[in-house]
Amino acid sequence: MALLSISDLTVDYRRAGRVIRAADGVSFDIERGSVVGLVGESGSGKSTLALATMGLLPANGQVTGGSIRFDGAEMAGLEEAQWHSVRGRRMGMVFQGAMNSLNPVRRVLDQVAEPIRTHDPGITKAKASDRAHDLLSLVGIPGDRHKAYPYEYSGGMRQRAGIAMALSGRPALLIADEPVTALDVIVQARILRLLENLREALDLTILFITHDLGVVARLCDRVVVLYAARAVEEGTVEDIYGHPKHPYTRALLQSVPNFARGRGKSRGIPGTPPSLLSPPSGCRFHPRCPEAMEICATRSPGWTRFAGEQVATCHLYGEEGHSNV
Amino acid sequence: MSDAGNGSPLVAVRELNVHFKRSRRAGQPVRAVDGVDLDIFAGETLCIVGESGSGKTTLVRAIGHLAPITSGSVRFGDVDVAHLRRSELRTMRRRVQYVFQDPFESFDRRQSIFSIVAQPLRVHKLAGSQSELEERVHEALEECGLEPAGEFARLYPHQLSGGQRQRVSIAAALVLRPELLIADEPVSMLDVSVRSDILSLFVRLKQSHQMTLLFVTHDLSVAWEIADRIAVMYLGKMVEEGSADQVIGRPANPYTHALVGAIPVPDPHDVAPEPGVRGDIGDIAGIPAGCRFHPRCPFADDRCSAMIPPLSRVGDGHRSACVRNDELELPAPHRLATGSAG
Repeated sequence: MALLSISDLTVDYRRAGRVIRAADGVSFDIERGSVVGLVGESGSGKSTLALATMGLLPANGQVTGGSIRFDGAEMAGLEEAQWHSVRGRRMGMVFQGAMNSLNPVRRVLDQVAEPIRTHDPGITKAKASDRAHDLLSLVGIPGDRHKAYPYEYSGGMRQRAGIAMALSGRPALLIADEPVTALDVIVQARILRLLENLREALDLTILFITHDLGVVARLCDRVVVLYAARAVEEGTVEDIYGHPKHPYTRALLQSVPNFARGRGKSRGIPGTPPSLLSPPSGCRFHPRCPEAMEICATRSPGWTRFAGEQVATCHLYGEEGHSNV
Repeated sequence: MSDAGNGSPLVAVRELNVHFKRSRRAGQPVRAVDGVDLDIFAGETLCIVGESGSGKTTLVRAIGHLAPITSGSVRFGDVDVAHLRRSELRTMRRRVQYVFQDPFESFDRRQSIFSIVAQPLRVHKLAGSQSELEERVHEALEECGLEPAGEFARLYPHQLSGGQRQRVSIAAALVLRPELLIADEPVSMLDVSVRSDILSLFVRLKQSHQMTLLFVTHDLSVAWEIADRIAVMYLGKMVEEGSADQVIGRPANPYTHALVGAIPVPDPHDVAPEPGVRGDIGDIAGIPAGCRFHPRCPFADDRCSAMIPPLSRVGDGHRSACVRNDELELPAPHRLATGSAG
């Protein structure tokens, strides 16, 4: 059974009397021990899915349909009080700004120990401190730096401390939302390697959210491609990069520089990602799609299954019903 | 100096220092650019690459007379940028134009696209009549892919997408027909699907207007996509310079090698080994003696803390600042297809 199963999930935001559907019938599973990348541009709904999965949607956001099953239990519609036994414990979260979310006037060790004591009120102060030392060492921070203040850390070390805090509840699932985006590329590569090592060492399952196709190729087993609040393609990293099926996935891969393809060979996607206030009819990619047909403007395509476990939703491949395969 | 390019450079930077005082009391100034030599040849696309804190932005700002030059010289054609006369300054402001990172912040929200693009022409009194002004603004908008220009001219920045706004800022730079276009991280805020069209717009405009393009980026894959030559900076020093294929394909400097190897490539089969580099640029308190990279360098030996390595020749038009230039055989970090940009 999948550790996380998102099924036909719909999330709405209300703003100034209007409804913005930031996730529109999204489904995907994350098997235990796997790393799944959620890829999309701005407005694709990737961060909304992360927030919904963690029960952290802002006050004007709401799950209005579908389900989020985590470890067999339904999370959609959970009360805030019930989230406390899940969030920060069985689900940890690291996000882009995590490195800036540490309290500047408290020692890093104390800040890592705090959630440990919250999760386990019976633990002694010394034990919590020991465990915080272990976590900081695990994420690669040398022992003599554990008691330093955040301002004495570089950006990379602060992000490591953020990962240590996310691990404090011994989570089964780590949700990482653009965790390396603000970092310089060498530090980024080392944090990605750390996440790989932690996955092995702690048997972690990771949901990795990013706009960066290079980062996904490096870290993930599977990829879910989002466009304008909908999933359009899913498969293994080899499937998606080797033989992408959806025209959006193909165009996205064509739009980034690729050493193996040659210089000056990347091509942008005409137009811009649509506004979720008034998404295009039919397939949402059709106004930018080089292969759009008449039907694409009027009907949303169903899912087509390809060899292996690759699926895509595009009229090029005919219909296999409107429900998810 | 460099054996790339032809004839004398459009811009010649020699022994350039740009130092900033931290505060009135602190003793040591920040050496943002420290002893940099650089030639920029007419018609080329030169990318300055580096991580945050490398000094790349300060360097190009000094070249364009937007940052104070502490010592050394920047020659732009026959003009000495460090000692500009008033009349020269005005000419310089026209001959060099900028495109900045954030197209969302660089405009006055109350100005129409027309006034934004027309403003440089008005300031420099380069349009004789209203109809000439309109013609030149519309021409610039069209060249930047904002068509029909008449319709775009009437819009306001908030009505445009990020990519379109960046096209407007390129048009506003282009309208003065500059010789040198300096672009500082112009695509890093944009969605990946619109980045490459903006990059190819730069390359196309550079060719059609016979401009020189000085392009600053932290992203080596962007540099590889458009650059003729790449210069790599680390903590205020130039550490490597060469053609795009040399710097990305066969980096000679251990720092560049780590930087190139760390680029996440959209190819699951191209996973370079973890860089053997320690810490990050921000872990360094103050500036290390000798080679500035030596405390993090996996190849450092005793010589590296003792002397500052000069940029020296490692190949045709390829230079690296490393005392071990002749000893190190660094493996190619990625599989590269060879080909030309734009």
